[in-house]
Amino acid sequence: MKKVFSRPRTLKDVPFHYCSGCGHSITHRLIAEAIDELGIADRTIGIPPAGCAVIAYNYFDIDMLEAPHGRGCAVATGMKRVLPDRIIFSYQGDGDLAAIGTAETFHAANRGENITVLFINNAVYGMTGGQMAPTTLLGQTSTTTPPGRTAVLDGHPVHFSEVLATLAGAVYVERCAVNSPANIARAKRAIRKAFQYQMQDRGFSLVEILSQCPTNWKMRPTDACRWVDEVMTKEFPLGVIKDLQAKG
Amino acid sequence: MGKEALFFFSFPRRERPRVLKGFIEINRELCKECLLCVEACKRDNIVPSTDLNAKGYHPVRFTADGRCNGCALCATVCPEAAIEVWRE
Ligand SMILES: Cc1ncc(C[n+]2csc(CCOP(=O)(O)OP(=O)(O)O)c2C)c(N)n1
Ligand code: SF4
Ligand code: SF4
Ligand code: SF4
Repeated sequence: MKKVFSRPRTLKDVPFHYCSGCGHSITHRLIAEAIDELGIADRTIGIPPAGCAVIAYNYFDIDMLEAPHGRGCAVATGMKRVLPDRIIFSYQGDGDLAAIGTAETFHAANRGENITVLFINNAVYGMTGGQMAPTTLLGQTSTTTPPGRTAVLDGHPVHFSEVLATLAGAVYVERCAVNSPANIARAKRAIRKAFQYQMQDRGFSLVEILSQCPTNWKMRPTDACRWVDEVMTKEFPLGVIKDLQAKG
Repeated sequence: MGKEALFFFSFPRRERPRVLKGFIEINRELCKECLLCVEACKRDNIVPSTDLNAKGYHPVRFTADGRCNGCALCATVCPEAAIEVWRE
């Protein structure tokens, strides 16, 4: 018998602190697998966010440097400009990227910084206990929208990937999910492609991951996966939002 | 004895695989009982248990009765990267 699946080398032998069934854990493994497949572990630098993934540096066997809340793209910009031969990725939640980090993310994309962003959309502020995020769905309850989010009081869910895709500097933007084997396989391909675009100096790439947060959604992990399919993807459809290289 | 045979005889007689097409190993200390693998396995090879691990979860168990085809769907969905898969 041949071993056909094991823990990727770039994922350290350290148990995750994430809750049972959390999408962060799956996404971490996919990033590590992509790094292994591309053979870039010795020249990749990751940037963890403030949020549940704040200690992501404990899990990857690569160089990592923590950024203040929302500033991942600013830190990545500086890093990539000083060390252009490194593969730089910023890992950010929806609160981190689409609320406090709006300006940094928007302008890094507009400048076409040659960096890769992993945008983990779990429709809440996970770490701080489930407050409304820019991506919280209409009607979704959170600790700051107990009766459910309303457009009148809270605005509509922000489609940040679509916004970034309108900017000339963004070359590749795709939305994926990690709630089923098929979606996980697609997400992995997208992450690898984003890294490859950076290796080819093409510009700003971003992969949004719809990521289950069973704890704050107050669901079982299996139900959370179904909720992504049945509810979340209706607001945030999966697929390639922009791929400049695909056209020609 | 080869590696395959060692696997085979590592099971109690009752649980020995009939055909060794695929095989998984679950790191039961890493398992957080999310049951995503139970749902992913099309052949019902993984079942919940009442055992306890050090974290206080009830880790799932591989039934190893020869129905595993090594498709790795269980390992693909496992958030803890707790599953390793072998295939013929
Ligand atoms: C400047 C600053 N403001 C506020 C906080 C508090 N804080 C920590 S994590 C977080 C939100 C994280 O939510 P998200 O980015 O969606 O990540 P998740 O935890 O859901 O993965 C906030 C507001 C902080 N650490 N720093
Ligand atoms: S609170 Fe949500 S996002 Fe944070 S670790 Fe738990 S399940 Fe994951
Ligand atoms: S490898 Fe496939 S058949 Fe075997 S236990 Fe895992 S999901 Fe089931
Ligand atoms: S998917 Fe992994 S963590 Fe979840 S129950 Fe199965 S083995 Fe345990």
